[in-house]
Amino acid sequence: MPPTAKIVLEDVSFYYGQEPALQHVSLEIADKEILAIIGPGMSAKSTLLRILNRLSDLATEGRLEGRVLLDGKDIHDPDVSVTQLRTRVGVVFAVPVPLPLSIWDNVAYGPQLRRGVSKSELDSLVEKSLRAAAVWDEVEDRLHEPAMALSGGQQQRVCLARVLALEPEVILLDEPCSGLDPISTMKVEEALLTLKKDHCIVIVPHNVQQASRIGDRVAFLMGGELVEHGSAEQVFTKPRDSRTDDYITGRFG
Amino acid sequence: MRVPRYTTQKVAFGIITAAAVGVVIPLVLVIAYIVVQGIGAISWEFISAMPRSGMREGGILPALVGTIWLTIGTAVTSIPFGVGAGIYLSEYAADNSLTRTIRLAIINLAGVPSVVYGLFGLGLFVIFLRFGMSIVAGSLTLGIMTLPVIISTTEQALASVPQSFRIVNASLGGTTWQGIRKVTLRQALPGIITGVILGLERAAGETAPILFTVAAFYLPRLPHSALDQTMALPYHLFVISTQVPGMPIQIQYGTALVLMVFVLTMNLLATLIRRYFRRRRQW
Amino acid sequence: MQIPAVPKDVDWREFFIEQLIRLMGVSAIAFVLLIFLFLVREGVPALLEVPLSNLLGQRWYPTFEIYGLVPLILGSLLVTVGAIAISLPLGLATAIFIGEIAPEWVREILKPAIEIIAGIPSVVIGFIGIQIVSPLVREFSGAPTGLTALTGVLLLSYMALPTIISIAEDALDAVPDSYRHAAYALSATKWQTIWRVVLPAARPGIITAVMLGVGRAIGETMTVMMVAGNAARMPLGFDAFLRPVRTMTATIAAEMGEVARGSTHYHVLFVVGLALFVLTFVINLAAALTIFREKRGGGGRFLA
Repeated sequence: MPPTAKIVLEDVSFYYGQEPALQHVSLEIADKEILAIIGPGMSAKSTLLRILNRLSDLATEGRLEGRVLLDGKDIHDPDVSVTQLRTRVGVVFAVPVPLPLSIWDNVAYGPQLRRGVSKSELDSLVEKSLRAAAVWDEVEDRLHEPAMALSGGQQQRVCLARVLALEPEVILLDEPCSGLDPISTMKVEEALLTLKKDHCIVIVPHNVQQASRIGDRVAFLMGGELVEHGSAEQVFTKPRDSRTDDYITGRFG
Repeated sequence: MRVPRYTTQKVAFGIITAAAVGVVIPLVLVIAYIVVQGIGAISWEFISAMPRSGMREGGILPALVGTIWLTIGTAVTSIPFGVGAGIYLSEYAADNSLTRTIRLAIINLAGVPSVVYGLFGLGLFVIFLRFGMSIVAGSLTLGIMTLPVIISTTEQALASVPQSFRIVNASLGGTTWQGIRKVTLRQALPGIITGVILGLERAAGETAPILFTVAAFYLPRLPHSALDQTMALPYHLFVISTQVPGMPIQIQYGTALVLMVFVLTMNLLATLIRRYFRRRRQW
Repeated sequence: MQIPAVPKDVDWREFFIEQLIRLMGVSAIAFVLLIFLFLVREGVPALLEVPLSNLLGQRWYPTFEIYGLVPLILGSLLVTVGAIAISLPLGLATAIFIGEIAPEWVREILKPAIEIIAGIPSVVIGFIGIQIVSPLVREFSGAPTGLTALTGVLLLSYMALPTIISIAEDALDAVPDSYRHAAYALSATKWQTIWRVVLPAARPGIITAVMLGVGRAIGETMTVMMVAGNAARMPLGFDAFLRPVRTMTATIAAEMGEVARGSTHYHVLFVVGLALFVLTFVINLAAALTIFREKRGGGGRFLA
């Protein structure tokens, strides 16, 4: 069992209108580890991620059942501030979406929303975050140029830095390397391996190989159901379910 | 005998092209004609002097100033409500019956005849609220008339900002308003400004709504306050072209020319802003 | 917890701003109601003072307290129908030209040009009507005056064009390209595709364009007042177009400045305004309903 469960999902289901997406998922996510969620397309992997920081609230006809606990506290409790939750649980999307602002403003965006953060604090936070996302060297001399002018790989790492600047406890990544070249992918993965020392990381990798490279634990989702969940070693070497075996050996998906 | 289909096409396209050309040619002719006939009347005195001898001599300064004041007044009254309502519809409104009612109301506001706005302004601002015939009453009337244009262009400009920016804002702990203020509104601003200018352009050229709310027939002085009546360019053109016998034709064309220049400058400004920012846009 | 909580006052400001913006949204409804309310408030006395048979009469002589609205309503109708009969084919053709045929650079000229037409003040169009169009009408028709319904119709049709063109063009634009590709794949010519596929598919939008064009024409005031001659007679017979005519809008604009506030005549003019309001309300409601019907269905799951 994981040492400490940072996030606990208790029988979580999610519906878009009448259509079920995620069905009865119970899962514990440990702190200071990387959980990779794998599965074929349309398995509601992204939905699961979005539930963890309540971006799923934005779905027009979305409906959630079950409970999601962060540090033992239900994130849907009425006294939970959703904006605050989202600074504790940051998310990086599949397609890098830099805001139409400078690199500096992108990274400082989250912290700037809170009051009482000085310019010098922001400067050091921006630098720290860009370094942690392994992109500082490439952008340090053009921090005030538009982030949209960067290459896709740089954009994605700036987006990661933007999340790190929130100083989140949990980082969610939704296929963060899907559009990236191998070198950028490697840089992102290295950054993640460093980050997991003091973060809880949940990633939907863009392929099984990536899950095996960086995942400590692996959850296999199929058709919105959690088929199997365990340490990476166990899932990849002796999967308990034949569907998992079929998937990781490449028989489908 | 069947007509070969490409012959049909040629004929049809010929007619259609002729129609499109036929739509534009009068515009060009009219503008050119007004310029040719009116340019002789234009002088520094014409735009900087009071009218004299029953408007048959002198300039059109009070009408020009009055229209400028009314345009500013319209901007002041319509922009906050118009942009606010546009933001509401684009960023906050849920898909419910209230929203549908608001949309319906806006469509109807856009369709109310300008002279009916005049009646409304007379009833509410001039009489009921006792503003009298005044710049305030006229501006408020024109302002409400301009609302639907500003609301719908604001909404469209905001809607064209990619949804992903809003998601990113939310994912970084931003509230809806923070996202609007820091990202969405700034991106939509060129579109909003364009729409506002086009709305004000229409207001500046309107006559019917100001007939009974502010416009003075002949008032050869500048307005003293916002509660003063004033002359206005469109009404002035109406007056000198229909109500004043023996009006020199050149002054009529000159006034029309000034009004056209006033309005078309705003139009050009809107077009330029839109072009400039469309090129610069990063998404 | 290392993240400082969002300060409470941010939530408070957020709430305040949200309510303010909502209020501004709702204000649109309030304005429509206010307009209606004040038209009714000033119009009702007329309905009490003037017998209905008088209001429904065929003569409009306010000086003798004869307030028959029928000639005004028919005048508005005549001018509007005439204007749409011209501007619909012309506008639709222009929309097809812009949307389907014209090369990009022509489009870049045409679209701003049409926006300029929309921006010409109606008083300028009226002025041009007096100076140029009405002499031409008199010349060609041999009518004793050039200030006729026909003159109004010609100018109004031009003023309704931008509305019809832009909405019809939107409607054409909304027809999915897959329809066109499918037609081409069946070896239809471009014209056949437009005529048999695109236009039928765009029909609801085109109907909306017509309705809004009607609304625009029926509400136009200054131009008709300046060029249509303003004789409040029943516009009947074949030569109605070649005689002066008076619309509801022109009646209000021409007479409101001269009536005593609170007089019966004053209140009757508000009744005319109320009738215009209701008429355009119904037209726009119908137009809006076709729009809403088109938009229904679909709807994304995630906002992303």
